[in-house]
Amino acid sequence: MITYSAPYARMRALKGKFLGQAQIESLLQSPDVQSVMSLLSQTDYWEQVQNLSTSREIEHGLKQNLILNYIKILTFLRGRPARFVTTLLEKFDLLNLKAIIRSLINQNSSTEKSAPFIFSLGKYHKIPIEKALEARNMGELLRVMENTPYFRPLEIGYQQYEAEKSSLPLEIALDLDYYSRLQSDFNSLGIVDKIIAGKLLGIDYDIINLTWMVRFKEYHKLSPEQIYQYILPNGWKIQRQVFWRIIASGDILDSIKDHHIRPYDRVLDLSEPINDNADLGAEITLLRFLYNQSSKALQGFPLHIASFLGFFIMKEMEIRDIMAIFNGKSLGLPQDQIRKYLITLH
Amino acid sequence: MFTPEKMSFVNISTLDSNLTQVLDCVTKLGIMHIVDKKDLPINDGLLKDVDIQPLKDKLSEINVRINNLLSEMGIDTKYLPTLSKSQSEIEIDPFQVASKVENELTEIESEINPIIQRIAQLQSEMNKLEKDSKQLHSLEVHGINLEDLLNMRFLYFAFGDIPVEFEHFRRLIDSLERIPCVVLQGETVGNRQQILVFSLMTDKDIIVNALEGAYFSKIDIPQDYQGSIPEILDKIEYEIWSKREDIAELRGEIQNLRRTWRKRLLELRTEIIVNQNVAESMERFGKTERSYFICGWVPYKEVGKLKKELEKMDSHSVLMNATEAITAQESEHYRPKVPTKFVHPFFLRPFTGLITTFDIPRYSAIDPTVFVSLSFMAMFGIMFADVGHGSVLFLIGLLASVYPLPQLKPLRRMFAFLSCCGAASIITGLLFGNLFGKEGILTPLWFSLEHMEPTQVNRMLSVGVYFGIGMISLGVLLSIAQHFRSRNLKEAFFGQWGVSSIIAYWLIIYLYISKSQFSWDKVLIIVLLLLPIMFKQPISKLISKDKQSHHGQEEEHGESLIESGFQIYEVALAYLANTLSYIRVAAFDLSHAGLMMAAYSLTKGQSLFLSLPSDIASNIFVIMLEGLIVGIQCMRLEYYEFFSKFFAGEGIEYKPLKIT
Repeated sequence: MITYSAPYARMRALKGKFLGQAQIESLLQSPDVQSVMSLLSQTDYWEQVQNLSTSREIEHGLKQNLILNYIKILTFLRGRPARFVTTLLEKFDLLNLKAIIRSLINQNSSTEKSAPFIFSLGKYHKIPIEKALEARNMGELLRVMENTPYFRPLEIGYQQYEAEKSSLPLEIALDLDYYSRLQSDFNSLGIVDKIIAGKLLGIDYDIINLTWMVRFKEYHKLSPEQIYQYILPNGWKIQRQVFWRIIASGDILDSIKDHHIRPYDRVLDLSEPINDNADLGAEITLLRFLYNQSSKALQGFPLHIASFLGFFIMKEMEIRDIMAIFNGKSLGLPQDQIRKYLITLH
Repeated sequence: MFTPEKMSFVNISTLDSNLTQVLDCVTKLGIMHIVDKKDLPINDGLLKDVDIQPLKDKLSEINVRINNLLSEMGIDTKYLPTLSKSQSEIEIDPFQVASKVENELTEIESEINPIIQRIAQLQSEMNKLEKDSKQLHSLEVHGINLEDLLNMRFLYFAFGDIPVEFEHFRRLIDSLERIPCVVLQGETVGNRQQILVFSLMTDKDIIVNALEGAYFSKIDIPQDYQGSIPEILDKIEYEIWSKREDIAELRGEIQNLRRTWRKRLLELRTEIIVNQNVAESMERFGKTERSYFICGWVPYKEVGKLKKELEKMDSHSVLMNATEAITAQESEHYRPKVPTKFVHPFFLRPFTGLITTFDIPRYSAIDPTVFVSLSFMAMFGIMFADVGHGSVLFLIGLLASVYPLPQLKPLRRMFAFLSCCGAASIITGLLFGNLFGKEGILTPLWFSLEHMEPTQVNRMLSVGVYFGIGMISLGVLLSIAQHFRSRNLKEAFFGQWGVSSIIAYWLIIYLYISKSQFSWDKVLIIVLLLLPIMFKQPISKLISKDKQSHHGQEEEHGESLIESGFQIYEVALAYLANTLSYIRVAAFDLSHAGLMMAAYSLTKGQSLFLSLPSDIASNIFVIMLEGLIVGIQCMRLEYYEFFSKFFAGEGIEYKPLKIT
């Protein structure tokens, strides 16, 4: 408990800077992108997004603000909780690495183009970013990654990458490695930490698994046997037996309802297709469920890791909403249409 | 023995045509410390660089080729003696030697290299066979017949490996739970796990997809063999053995060639190494259109020898001139810097390292090796006074310094040094009758540390202080002698470690020992002795009759007076602290006795069977721990308390060009 008192105080202070429903509503009511930026200028995000204009740049700036929040809390954390939060933060290093890999594989892109969108993690970087950006091909990148935690997963995926010239095997190997390390750090926490945070992390894994299942099945046309090996093993409800029950059906998300997999069947009952896209509607509904659960984790006894996990998830959802509003306004979508994409306002 | 050897500066100029002769003469005499032309005070760009890099590269390449050949013949070059030829037989001519040795080496290589290449080829074939054998062995473990495997029509099989991480094997098994198939685990090689999968041919696509998900990598089953796997493995084994025999035969041929060529290759290696050193030195020569200039330092007493040798050559094409021996005073301002050559008898050589580890003394300085060696041994002996422990160190040092093991060669002086320290411990151990920490076995020549009275403790500690007074006095006297040698009278009389300060120090000690009554006239004498240190600058100005006074100089004098005032305080404090520092010499002796008493008390009253191993372990522990601590303390007392009084470092080591 003593471990969490100082970082918790820090987190509460940072939570006070959340936009909240009123400010998100104001952003939504804004007539155009300029007004959105003008409203953002009065928020904690402004330092990271001022002078930025494109959607990608602004998203990068907002996420950089989230990273800053991670670092501010990490300054006060010690021991195993600090290791767990550091691994949570490492997700952005993973995104950096994936961006570099994609630019190396994509002939039309270059690492110079991805450089501005690299997240800065300060001393928490686990990859030598400068050298990685200088790599001219995957072989070179692999050499640069030696002595980092990413070397072995890249080495595992490299052979299939060579055969297919696709980033998928590399990215899956990286994800499996990252989530396995995250789970290992989570397992090292105390029992009080694990009770609530385990559920939050499990829901997060479930959403990732469902999203991946749809993506692998619909877009990559992978076989169930192959998809099974790619899903994360520590989900809350989407586990081995459930997987085989839902993977064979024509629509994965419908089959969750058909097989009464609680509570997702009830959650998904509330989902509506967005622009005729049922998968997107289901994803938004599931994220709202995760948001609500995170919000609950911040109520009651506060001195456990779930408070921080909930905080980071809520902040991420808020950023997602800001981006949905920004993109919606850029496309000139009406407010009602944009509202369907929002998570925190529901 | 107390001062470095006198040196003369020598210039040799030779026409290009005579360079080889001069090089041969200079290198074989091995007395000239070559000076780089860039360090000469007057050069003005008259002397050009000698372009030696291509030659150096060539010599280095030949050296690598010779070493490779020796290594292929099983000769470890690491501990080979460098000289495999008598000095007079070695040809000193880097240009000629490079091409001559290269030609001969190519000939030897043409005889040896085909065999080496054949061995490499056989080795590679053997590696492939071993790999095939390993892979087939995994199949054999499961009782599989290769022919059956290759001729299956209704069953699909896959043989390969998957990563051991992320529970890939378990995930694969789980993912195939609905498919009728068999998945067998094979060996784990590195971080990959071999697997063998069988399924119906109709499920082939499912299996292939599932394997892809597990990052499966196919292992090619050798197709060149026929029959059952045990038969094939036997066949492979036979082939491996036959190749091993071929390799052994070829190695035998290499052994024969080794007998033929070893001596010659080592001679060639010697010639190349020596000429590489010469080529390195040639970089420092100066060059004009038709001649070379070689400058350097030669011991004054050897100049005649060099001159005589050079005079044997054509007097019109080789000229030499040498200065008189450089004095200590001259050397302070001489450019290029004069190197320091120690003149030590053999028994002092183990201690040279103690000096050079600290710094190389200047040419003008006093060589402190004699004092350091005696004082170090005395201090080590007192601190580690034990006949038994000393004998162990003495024997280890002696054996390691004379044992003819090439690996020990670079450490010989260190072991000789250890042996001397051990001998000192034996002598002082006899004074206190201490044998492996036990007193009573030997009769102490002085008194026993274990049974001494409290008054003897004080006596022991005062021995340390008196020793310190002696060492500090010696240090200051060496400092005074050194200043006289360099004609620096100001520092000799009024310096921090000069005549006036040491007299004041002795006077205070005398007053303390004689327990004389306090009186102002004694204080006045001490102050009068110390005051010249404070007024050193003005007095020296007066002596040099520089009476021109400027405003700035007056200010400078004021500052220097304040500085000197603090200097006196510093000197007094240093004398006191340094003297007391030597108490540790006695204190460590007492701690040694105490530590051994504690070690033996652990096993007191126990049977010999139980106490002996423990006592041996305690003694080994004390020898290692105390030996190290005492060594460090002695070094500290030498470097900090003793050297700080007089040691004038920043010298350069005398390294003549010679055949090594």
